Amino acid sequence: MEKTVMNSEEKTGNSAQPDSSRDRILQNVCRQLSGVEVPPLPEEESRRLPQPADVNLLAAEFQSKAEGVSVVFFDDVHSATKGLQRVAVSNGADLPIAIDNVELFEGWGDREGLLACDAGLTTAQIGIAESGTMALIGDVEKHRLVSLVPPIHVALLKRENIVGTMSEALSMLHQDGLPSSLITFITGPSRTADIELQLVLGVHGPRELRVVLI
Amino acid sequence: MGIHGLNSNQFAEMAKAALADEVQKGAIGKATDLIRDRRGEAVEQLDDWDDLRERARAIKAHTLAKLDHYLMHFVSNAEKRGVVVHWAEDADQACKIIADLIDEVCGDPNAPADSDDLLARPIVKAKSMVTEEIGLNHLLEGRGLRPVETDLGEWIQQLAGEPPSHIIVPAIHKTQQQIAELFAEQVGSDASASAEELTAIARRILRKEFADAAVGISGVNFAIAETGSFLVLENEGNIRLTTSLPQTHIAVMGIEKLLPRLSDLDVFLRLLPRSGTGQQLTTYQSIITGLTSKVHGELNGGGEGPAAVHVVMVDHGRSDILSDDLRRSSLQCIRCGACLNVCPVYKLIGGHAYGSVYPGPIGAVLTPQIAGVEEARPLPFASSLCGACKDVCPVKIDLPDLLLDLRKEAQEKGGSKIEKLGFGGWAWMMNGPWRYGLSIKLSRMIYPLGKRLSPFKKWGEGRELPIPAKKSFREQWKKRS
Ligand code: SF4
Repeated sequence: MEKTVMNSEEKTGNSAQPDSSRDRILQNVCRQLSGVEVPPLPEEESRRLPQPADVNLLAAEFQSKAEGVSVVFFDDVHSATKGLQRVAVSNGADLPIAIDNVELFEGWGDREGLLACDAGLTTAQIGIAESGTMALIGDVEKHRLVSLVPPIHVALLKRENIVGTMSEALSMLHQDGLPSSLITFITGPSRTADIELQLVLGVHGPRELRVVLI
Repeated sequence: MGIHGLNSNQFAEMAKAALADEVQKGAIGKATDLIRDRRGEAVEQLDDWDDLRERARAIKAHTLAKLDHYLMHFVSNAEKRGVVVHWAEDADQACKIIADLIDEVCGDPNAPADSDDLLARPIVKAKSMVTEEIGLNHLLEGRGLRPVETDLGEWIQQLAGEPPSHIIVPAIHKTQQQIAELFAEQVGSDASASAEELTAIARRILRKEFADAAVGISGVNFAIAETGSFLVLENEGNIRLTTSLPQTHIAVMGIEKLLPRLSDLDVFLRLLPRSGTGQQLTTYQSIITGLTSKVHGELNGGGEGPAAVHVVMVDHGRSDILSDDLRRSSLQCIRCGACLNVCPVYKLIGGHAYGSVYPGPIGAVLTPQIAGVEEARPLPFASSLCGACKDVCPVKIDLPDLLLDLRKEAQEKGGSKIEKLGFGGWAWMMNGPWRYGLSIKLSRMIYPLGKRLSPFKKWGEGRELPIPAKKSFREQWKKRS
């Protein structure tokens, strides 16, 4: 963890209680494990798709997998937001500052606004072709509420940011030091099957997920 | 040590009642068959399924054998990122820690007058088996707080005043009609509402609860030692709301949930959704590493996410089962529910008959180990030892072997003479594949008899469940290959 620089207040030692329970638990864990043979930890593994990492192939695979879980693709952000009135946006660098006939507002700090808008607009930092998944990184962009609270989530994803596998995505998320404070993987719209296993979309999160590949 | 609401010694009566409930049997049979088939399809898409299982097993086995090391590593990294870590030796302590944290946020329950307002505020909860285990809702309600389950299935169960009956699909035993009637009674909706309408009602009501809540409580699927992160996965989005909207997030985890490295998530994310629901991946996975608001240098008002993240590490009997290799392996469980869906006993009697928040094969293994064999004497015997659970388990837990081991303990720690005699022989018979094979053939012959013969009659009453398969999975498999 030597890679990180931290404020003094973020250092260790904010344990909330006297350490007796911690010590008793750890002591018992040690005691019970004494004499137990430790089997080896399997080597770290980097998994790739068999086919070469061609941008167009990966994008096509991403799209077909995402469509399989009810994601709808649009050619550009204008068609993806057509007919919408109020759209919350995150602070993503690649997001448009204006869209014709649509009122955009900063969504992340405005909960009332979020509850009343038609859609949330964010970018996604990574796409994962094998499952049609997007990774949204909290420290890059405040996606947490904008991608979750409104009934429609519109996400922009750069084709060049699509990788083959979850394994590749995880190593990217970890490569420059510690992972972001929040990473959200999204594969399709919110869903439930808790009533007789019938699929219903949009139970708590967005009912629709619209993606624009750029 | 108690599991909340534990009633497993009444297994025989409860199983008998469950067997008589045709509606429930129909609902569970249909649903478990469907998930089992979906799982099968999802598994077939991969040609390295068994390698994945072996890898996952090996990672878990290593981690558990060095658990003290990984616990320390996880905790110190999480604390560096601003997480406050708490340790609970048992259920009572875990509940007390959480309740005290809530009091801190919501005000002192003994303070009169204006704090009432805060106390009426909901505590939103995302599905977490360990909070069921420790009986958290019960304790919070006793303190005048209002915990609200937000996973649709859990909410249905909360409205019904029942514990979940399946670890992945909490209301699996209910039909849509029953749920519609329950909603009609509890929230005044139409008694003939469709699944879509019922879901919309839940969304509307729970949205309000999310908006009002000051504290959100979630479980943890995986905790990563090298980064101090934890991952929660779901389909609905209620975990994201629970961990994002309230100003305080409390994550509750058993101490066995650790993985060494972030990259280890890959194999577990390939195994868990496929095993649990037959999905390639669930809709959402959130990896939380400390506080968002700290990174943005601002607090909740202008930032995102809770101002405080707490992790409560729950032991509750887990550390006591670390010494024995076989027993320790039961802590590899990732709570996918696959063993429930293929279990011929679970299929017939459902989850509640086990009298434990952990039902099915894994419940029959975990419950006596956490609560003590005396408290759940019938559970290790509530199995036909057909081995279907072992065959599907994504982390290769040898559930039949564990059940036999627990049977032996149950038998050593008392039990009637005839049980001792019978199960002694049983244990011998199961100990070795050829003997096991013989026993299955024997059971096919004895089964019709056993039900009628008087010394077995009582024994058979609660257990007339698993009709031995004409051909065991093993035999069929052998034939195929
Ligand atoms: S014992 Fe295995 S199959 Fe059963 S819930 Fe745990 S991980 Fe899944």
